[in-house]
Amino acid sequence: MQRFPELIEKYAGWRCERCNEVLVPGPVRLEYLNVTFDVELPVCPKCAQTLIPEELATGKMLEVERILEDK
Amino acid sequence: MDQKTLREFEWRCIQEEPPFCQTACPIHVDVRGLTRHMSRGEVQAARKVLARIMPLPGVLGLICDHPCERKCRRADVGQAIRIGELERACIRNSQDIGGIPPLPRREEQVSVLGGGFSSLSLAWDLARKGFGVDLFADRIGGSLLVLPEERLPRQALEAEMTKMIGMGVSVHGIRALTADLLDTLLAESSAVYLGLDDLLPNEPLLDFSILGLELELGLPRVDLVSLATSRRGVYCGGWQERELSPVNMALHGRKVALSIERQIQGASLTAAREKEGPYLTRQDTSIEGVTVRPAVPMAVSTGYLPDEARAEAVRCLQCDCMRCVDVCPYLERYKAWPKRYAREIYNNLSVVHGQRQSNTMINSCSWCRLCEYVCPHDFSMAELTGLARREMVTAKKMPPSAHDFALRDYAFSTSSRASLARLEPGKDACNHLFFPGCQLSGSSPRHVKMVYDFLRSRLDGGVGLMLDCCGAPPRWAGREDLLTPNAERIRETWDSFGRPRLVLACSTCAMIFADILPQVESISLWQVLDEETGLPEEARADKDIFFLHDPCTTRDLPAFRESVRNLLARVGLKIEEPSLTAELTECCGYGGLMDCANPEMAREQAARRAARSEKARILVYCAICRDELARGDKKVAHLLDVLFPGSQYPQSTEPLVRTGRGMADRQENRARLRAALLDQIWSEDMAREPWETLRLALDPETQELVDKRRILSDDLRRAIYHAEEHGNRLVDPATGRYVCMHKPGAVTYWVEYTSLPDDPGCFRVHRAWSHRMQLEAD
Repeated sequence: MQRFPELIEKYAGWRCERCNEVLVPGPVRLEYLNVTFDVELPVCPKCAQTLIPEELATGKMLEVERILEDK
Repeated sequence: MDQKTLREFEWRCIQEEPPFCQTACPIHVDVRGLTRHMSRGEVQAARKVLARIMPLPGVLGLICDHPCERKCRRADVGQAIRIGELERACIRNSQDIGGIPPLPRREEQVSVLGGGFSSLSLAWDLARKGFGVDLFADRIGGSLLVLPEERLPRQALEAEMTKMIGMGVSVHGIRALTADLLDTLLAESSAVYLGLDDLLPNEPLLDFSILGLELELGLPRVDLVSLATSRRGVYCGGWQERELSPVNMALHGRKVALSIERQIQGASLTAAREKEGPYLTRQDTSIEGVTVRPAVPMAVSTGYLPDEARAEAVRCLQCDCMRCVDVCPYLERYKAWPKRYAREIYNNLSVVHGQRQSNTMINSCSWCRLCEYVCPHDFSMAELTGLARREMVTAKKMPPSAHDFALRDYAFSTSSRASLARLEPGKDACNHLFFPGCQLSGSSPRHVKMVYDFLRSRLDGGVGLMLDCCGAPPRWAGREDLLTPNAERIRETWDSFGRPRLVLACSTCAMIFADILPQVESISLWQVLDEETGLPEEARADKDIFFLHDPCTTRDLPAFRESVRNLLARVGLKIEEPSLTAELTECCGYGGLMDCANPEMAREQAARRAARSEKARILVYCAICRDELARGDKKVAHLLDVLFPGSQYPQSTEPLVRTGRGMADRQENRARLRAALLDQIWSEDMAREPWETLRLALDPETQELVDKRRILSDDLRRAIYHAEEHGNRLVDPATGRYVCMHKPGAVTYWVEYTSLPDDPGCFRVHRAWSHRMQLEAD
């Protein structure tokens, strides 16, 4: 599982509004073009609502999306 | 794409065809390579170029009779490059690089008779190939020996002979040429060569009939392709036509060396040898814009001094054909030329496992077809990449992100939220149907209304209106499956309106309709204004001179271009045309969905186009060209800004000019235009989605960011609307900012926002981003 400690730290203190819970690092499975990736992201411990930070979406994730699209 | 199609594409591109000089040379010396090195003063490297092809380069380089010069392209812009003199200068000013290591020794032995240059060339070639060679000659040089010492220093000949002996050639005295001798030599060796360039002058009355060979005019009859005589294993060459031609003697030697190799392999002596000796190349080098420069004179009659040789070599045009690459930043970007691209694309389509490295290249072509217009053989990258895109779509190998935005934009333009088709109020059929096109509606909706009002006031027989998309985006994306139903839908409306004439503001629509709805009559809005309605009274010129940009889709539409020029003349607007104009115009960067698949490439294309003129203002008559070109420093006006200035900018110092709209606003403009027209012209009310009333506040940097990321205001509104309605959002207690997500299709959008307590219903957007990967729970 890939971890992003700097992102976890950056979003420390963010809460899920509906459950009023502080987000905690949790396992998340991402999928694209039939390939899956296990990563750790801030999630709501109660309803599992997940935050995909801008840094990840426009960085690593975009990179991987492009590679998979050229396969 | 099958092999045959690939070959057809490859055949059209002549960039890899050899230059004129090289194919005029009997042995195809790489003259371009020679002059390239000579022009840089790299004499030693230049000598290597000669030595790679020439037999006895230390001799032939000095005495070559250079038939190449007669075909030199430079002759049309000055004088032919003095290639013969450059070769001489090269040999005289460089170090002998020594013998070339021959291939491993073969067991076959060949007897070469005569010391003429054809025999020496043959011996040289055979020795390089590893044959054992017995050279029978009394006069090394043969017919060359008529040349004076200053032309051919005998020392040079001796040096090359020493090298040849080092390569394994045995030199013997010649014996009387008799049938017995020929029989003996044939018994001892695989082949025998008779070099007439020594044997004949030596023995002018030589009676070849005694050799048992068939004769023609007293000489052995030979097949001109292989130089084989009537007797197997016996070859003959070295005859002279008109005057001494050392390079033709070299060709005779070279031909026989190849024939002997084939004879030993048991292969055909004559098959597939068309390109031996001089032939006509398909190369076609443009001399447009090349400065006339005569040959560099010689200070001393004996030949070029090193500096003179260098200056002469600089004149070489380095013939090739890069006409298309020279005018296209896209073709330039991938550092090759169409023939190479055809092969890369073919390979890309054939990949089963592994990287498809040409996907972006395939999807970046603007389909502007300038390459086709400048190419001597009409090579069309649009045709090539079009075929590739359709094939990728069929094989489900088209990257989802490549055209996603444009296809969703297309879906929106043709949806009930943006499209509209109405007869003129009060009419039950119409003679004319105004079709402004999706981009004008998205970029400049007010002009759609102004023009429609104007056309209704001036044209008889009813003017209908159709807000829709012609289908260019799916065609560009290789999605013919989406194009066909669209064409059918538009045709049905046209039918039900009484088959009116289409009045088109967009040349892309004209191009697409001509193809998919050939039965529908159409005319450009510009032609209607020029020939039928006249101009609106408020049409006015600007005092400045504009650089006129023709959209690339007018390439085949001269009537479009002509009407625009007429209108400009009537209104008195002065224009300047760049060198690439009219049917040679360039793309703005949007065509072929270049901007969608490769935004960086599109920016470069737009910048290159805008820089074609020094004028600070550009006049366009395509909505998307305006928005693309307006991203640079130049001011861009649309022809409609000139003809229908309206009352919007009465006090502005630059009434004609404004910057482009971001992509994100276009959908909103279309939806609002539809609603406004329905309300104002047809008095129809339309239902709105609940999120459409949300108001957004974005500072300019954020607006630019969301535009760049292709996130629409509609996506932002829907995300915020759902978060507000259902409370599905994350919050940072420290700042009070919310983050929410929305997934309308394949892409997930995220918005970071705050609500504005002083302004209920308005939300400030701080950041927005998107991704295509999915959360597995989705």
